[in-house]
Amino acid sequence: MTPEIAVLVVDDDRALLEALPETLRLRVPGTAVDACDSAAAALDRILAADYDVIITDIKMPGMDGLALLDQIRVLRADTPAILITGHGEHDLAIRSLRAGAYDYIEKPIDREYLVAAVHRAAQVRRLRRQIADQQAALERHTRELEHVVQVRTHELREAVERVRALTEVAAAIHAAHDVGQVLRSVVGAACRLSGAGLALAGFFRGQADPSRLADPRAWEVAAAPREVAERVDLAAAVPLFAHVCARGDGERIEDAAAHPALRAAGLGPVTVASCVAAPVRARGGQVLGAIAAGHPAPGRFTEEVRSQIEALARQAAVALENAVLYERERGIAETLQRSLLPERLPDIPGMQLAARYLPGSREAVGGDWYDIFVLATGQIALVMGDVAGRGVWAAAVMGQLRNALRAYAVEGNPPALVAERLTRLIEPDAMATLLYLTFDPAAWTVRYVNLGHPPALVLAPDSAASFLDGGSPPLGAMPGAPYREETATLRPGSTIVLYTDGLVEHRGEPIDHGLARVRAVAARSAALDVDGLLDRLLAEGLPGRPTSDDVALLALRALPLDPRRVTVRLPAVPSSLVTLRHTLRRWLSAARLRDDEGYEILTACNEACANAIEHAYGPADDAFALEATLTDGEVTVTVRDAGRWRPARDQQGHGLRLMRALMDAVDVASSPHGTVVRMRRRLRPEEARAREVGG
Amino acid sequence: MMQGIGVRVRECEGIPVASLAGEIDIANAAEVRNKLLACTSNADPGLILDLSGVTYLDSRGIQLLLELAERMKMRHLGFRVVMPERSVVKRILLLTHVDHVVPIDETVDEALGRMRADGEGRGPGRPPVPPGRRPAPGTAGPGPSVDGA
Repeated sequence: MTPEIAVLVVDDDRALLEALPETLRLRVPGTAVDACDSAAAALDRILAADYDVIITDIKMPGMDGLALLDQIRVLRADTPAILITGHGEHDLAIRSLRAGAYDYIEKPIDREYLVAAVHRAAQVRRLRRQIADQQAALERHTRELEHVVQVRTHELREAVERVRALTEVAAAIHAAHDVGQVLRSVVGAACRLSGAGLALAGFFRGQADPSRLADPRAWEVAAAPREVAERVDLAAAVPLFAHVCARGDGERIEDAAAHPALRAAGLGPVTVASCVAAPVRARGGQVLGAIAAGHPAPGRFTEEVRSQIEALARQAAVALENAVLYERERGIAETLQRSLLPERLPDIPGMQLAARYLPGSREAVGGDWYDIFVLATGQIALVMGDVAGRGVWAAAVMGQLRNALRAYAVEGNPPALVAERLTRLIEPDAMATLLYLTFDPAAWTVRYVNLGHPPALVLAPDSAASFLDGGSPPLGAMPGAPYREETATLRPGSTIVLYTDGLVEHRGEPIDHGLARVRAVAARSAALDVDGLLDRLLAEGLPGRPTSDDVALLALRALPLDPRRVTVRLPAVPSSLVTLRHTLRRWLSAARLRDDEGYEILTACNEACANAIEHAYGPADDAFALEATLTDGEVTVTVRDAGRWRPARDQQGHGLRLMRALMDAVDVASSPHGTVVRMRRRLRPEEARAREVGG
Repeated sequence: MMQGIGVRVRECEGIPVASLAGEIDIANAAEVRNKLLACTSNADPGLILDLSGVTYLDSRGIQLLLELAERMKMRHLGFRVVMPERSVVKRILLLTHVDHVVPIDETVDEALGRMRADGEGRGPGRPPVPPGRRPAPGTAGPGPSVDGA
């Protein structure tokens, strides 16, 4: 049986040193007693063994009991010490208690008391030890708990990171606008998921031809983090991508050097010793791309990381499929819309024209459109419309409306009738705003219908800016409704500006503010040409706002013609003759020629230009130019073209004969560079007198 | 759809009357010709072409009228043109001697009366055309070589 109580007795009195242990052994069963005859010897023992109770005499040679007590308090703070004092040495007894003794015993020693004191001291010692043990256990437990908490926190952080990375990919699925964007967010997520030093993601653009898997030109690759990615030739990842795509599932590569595909990848200055790679496949199984995560240290990735990268690949597959669909639809919508906007504005003599189209957000193409054409009456038709909705559907509706409007307008229908016909035509679910305006440059009048569209802006040459008011509900909102046609008279030299709501409607702002701003900007811009005017409206009408809506603008300024001189340059196509005659009529009227005389000069000019058109050859940008002047009662006309008049055919004979009959002199000079026709006609005297305006 | 010109054909007392409105030039002359040729049958007495609404007519329009006259003559059909005296276009017809080939009336009623009268007389309804005065293909066309003259 192991001793329950270990006691050390220290006394220089040999008799006592023998008697006391004996007494304790007898009276306290299970007690092991050691004895020392000096404090110095006792210290050695105390250092070597942990006693439950120490009994020491105070008065000893050398180190005395009190000094030993101090040492015990330092070395064995838990061990109770009982000091033995001489009879009546109360002062010593009290000093020893103050110094930390557990108890004292007076000589002659009362054995009963001694035994009781040792018992109590041992018990105290046991309790103290228990408390200490419990405290240690408690501390140990706390430390363990802390460790568990740390581990759990770390795991939680990692889980949060993984969730965040996966959430980011999921977010990219919804926000995916293009393949590049998806790839960038996938590599970012792969880095965080795997702790990789380098993450690569590739999109395979050759879905139709799987044999191109190893062709770097069929891949679009992104890498992260940037500082590493910048040092890598991204195309070098293609052999690895091709390998996992052919393999069909994810792969964990522990030893890069022994892996042929990874060796072939040759990522150059970036060391990849361990790697996880997975193919990205569409629901139908076809290859969309691949993901790879690499680390410079070998054996860096666990199976868990591999399954995470595979999960990421499944997310990436959805995102890439969406992006491809989106890119395709956006491409179609853009092509459709671009093909419906005028490639270039018509060249109408005496008119300044300008247009702008500012695409809004990248998400989808809007349904804004504008159009401009000359009617058979010489009036100019301006159109600005906005189909509700976005994408291919909106662009298709826009195309229908644009073409139908042109057809109805060219038939000679007034604006209100054109709008009424469009109402019958528009698809049941479609809605569009539309401003259709015809401008008569001879009378300076406009006729228009406004179907729920922002009002046209008119800028007079003296800087007065106003809106053309009046309107009806949008197209498609009120089937069968008659539309109100408005008219207005403009001052010569005025500018008409049509635009879509993107210019005046901004989130969190009443539309009146936008309109007022546009009017104020225009009023400061009368000195600018129409291009300058539109640029300023865009710059200052949209002050630093990233607009989500498309903005289209169209401006027309008709300048009064100089009665002394007019020049016209038009493409050498038959439809140019209408424009030519309208321009000449405006000029003949400005020059105040008599109707019949003007008509004859007009006919002669038309014949000369018709010949130029007939003889146009080669590229489509062939053009002809006419210049007419009125000086001292004589009209002189010069028509130049780049073609050669061929030997006369029947109808050319009519043309030249007409010109000769209508003009006083006609001269046709042909050279390899083109033909120049010069014609002259003296006005009859009374007209010539009236004509001195110009002189 | 024809650019710049409207063609309306109606029948008055069994005679087709085609009314043109707008401008005739190089851009639409061929289409107008086809449409006019299509609106007469050999059973009709002929065609009355009302040019009252024409605001412009160039040498292609003249060519068109001469060609129509030729075709009608071959089909033994009458052909009359209506053109008010005050029309600016009329002077062009006179300058190019269209009136020597095609009879020109002031109004549609006048033209209808004359065509009926011609029909009763079984005559061709047109003044004889002196061959020398009609612009024939290749006779009057000055090419670049004569332009300096």
